[in-house]
Amino acid sequence: MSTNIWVWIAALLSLCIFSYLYKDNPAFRFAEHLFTGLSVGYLIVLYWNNYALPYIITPLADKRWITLIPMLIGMMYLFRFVPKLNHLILIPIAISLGFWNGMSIPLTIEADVLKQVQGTMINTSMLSNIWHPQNGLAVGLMVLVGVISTISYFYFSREHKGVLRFSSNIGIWFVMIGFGATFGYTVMARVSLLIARMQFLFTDWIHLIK
Amino acid sequence: MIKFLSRLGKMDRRIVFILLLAAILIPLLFSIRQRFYVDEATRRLYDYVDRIEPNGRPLLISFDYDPQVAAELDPMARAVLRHCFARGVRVIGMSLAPQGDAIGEAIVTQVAREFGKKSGVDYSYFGFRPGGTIIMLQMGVNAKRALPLDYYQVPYDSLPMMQNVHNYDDIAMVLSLAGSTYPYSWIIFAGTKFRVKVGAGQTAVMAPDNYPFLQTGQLVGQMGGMKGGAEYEQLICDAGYYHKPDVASKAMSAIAYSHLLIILLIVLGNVGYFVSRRLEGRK
Repeated sequence: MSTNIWVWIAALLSLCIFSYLYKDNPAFRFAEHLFTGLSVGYLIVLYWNNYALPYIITPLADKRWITLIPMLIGMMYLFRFVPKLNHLILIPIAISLGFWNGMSIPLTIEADVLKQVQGTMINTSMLSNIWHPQNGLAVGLMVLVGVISTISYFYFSREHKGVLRFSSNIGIWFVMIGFGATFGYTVMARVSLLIARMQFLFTDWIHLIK
Repeated sequence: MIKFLSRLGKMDRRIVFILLLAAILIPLLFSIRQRFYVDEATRRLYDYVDRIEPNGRPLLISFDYDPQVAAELDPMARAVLRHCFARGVRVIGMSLAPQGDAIGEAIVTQVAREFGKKSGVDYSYFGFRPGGTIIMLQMGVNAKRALPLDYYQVPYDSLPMMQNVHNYDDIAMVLSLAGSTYPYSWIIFAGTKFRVKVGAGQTAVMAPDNYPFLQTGQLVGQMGGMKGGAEYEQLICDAGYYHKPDVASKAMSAIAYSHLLIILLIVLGNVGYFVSRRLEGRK
């Protein structure tokens, strides 16, 4: 058994959380509320030290008055709570939207559209190694068929008949396989979290696993 | 028999919990080892880190995750750090997630201690940097402005290893460990804009989303879930950079058996559903 008090606290709180698997109970609710309170407290201190102090308090103390401009724009969000001045929150929203859209649209088009379309294309280099798992012709063809058929499934401006029906039927298979892969990964994620907790309880706490 | 099969679809969830617990605990308690293959995405990441010049441009590891997903991402962080420190590759650590701040510090100092590495010389940890994508962009222009003080409040200029790091041109690769879409943001705001190489360590839930970026080469490589961590642990052990597999490798047998159980339960649940539907149809 561990002699570290923090290991004991963590282990007992883990057991409190696991007790919910049987049914809701005060031990579970205690651990849940403790976690919520701790997280909020931690975040308040962290944001104070990392946001407020270096970006507002210190610059103002150094008489860098330009800090007041972004600070005041940010504070306009608080007009949400003043019904008569409610419309003023549109100013910080407009600034944020303008900045983020201007910055991210060109980059997103390049990274998410152009590069991805490029990745869908078949090229001559794929012929050198047909079965390569990343850049082979077989994978290239599968990606091409998958993309076209999946997009055709989401084309709603025409009734799915004839070629469009055939293509969208293939598309739905690709979509389902994608969902299946995601679900499989999700199962692994949840099981991994449980395994890690068991490793903690049986290794760090009661030293049953070496 | 048919009645028994029809009941399978309505199995008490507490029985499922007990079976799952057994499927996890038995392999862990009896140290049952399971073979597993190394995924191409993990190997690509490993190969890239393995090619970084010792004492050359540092690797930037961003601990962009919270404790909720630490079980999956901590083993990856430790494995990559061991790989870097064993080869003499310098590391810059930071976090864009508020709660990743302390997680990153604990892991970096633990592994640095294992290899006798010094803060400021072999690695620098900057902790949580608020601003997300703003920090990603600022790093591309002026790393010192994005990371003015390290975690221990030491100024950037006083850290010997940071003297030649001005922006992404002086960084070998950005590795984002995350349970959310931070790697995607790194791809867009660092990889696409500043052409720095980006790698990812993702929770299993998020890993499938990155395969399009792996295919196009926008991601150098990726570790996906606890298996990704186990694969990296395996690779550094095989190469002799570390002496023993860590927690992720030990968990692989528990993952395998629990997955087999879940597959079995899905099959039995479906059998139970169809049998009970047939029985209801007869009535």
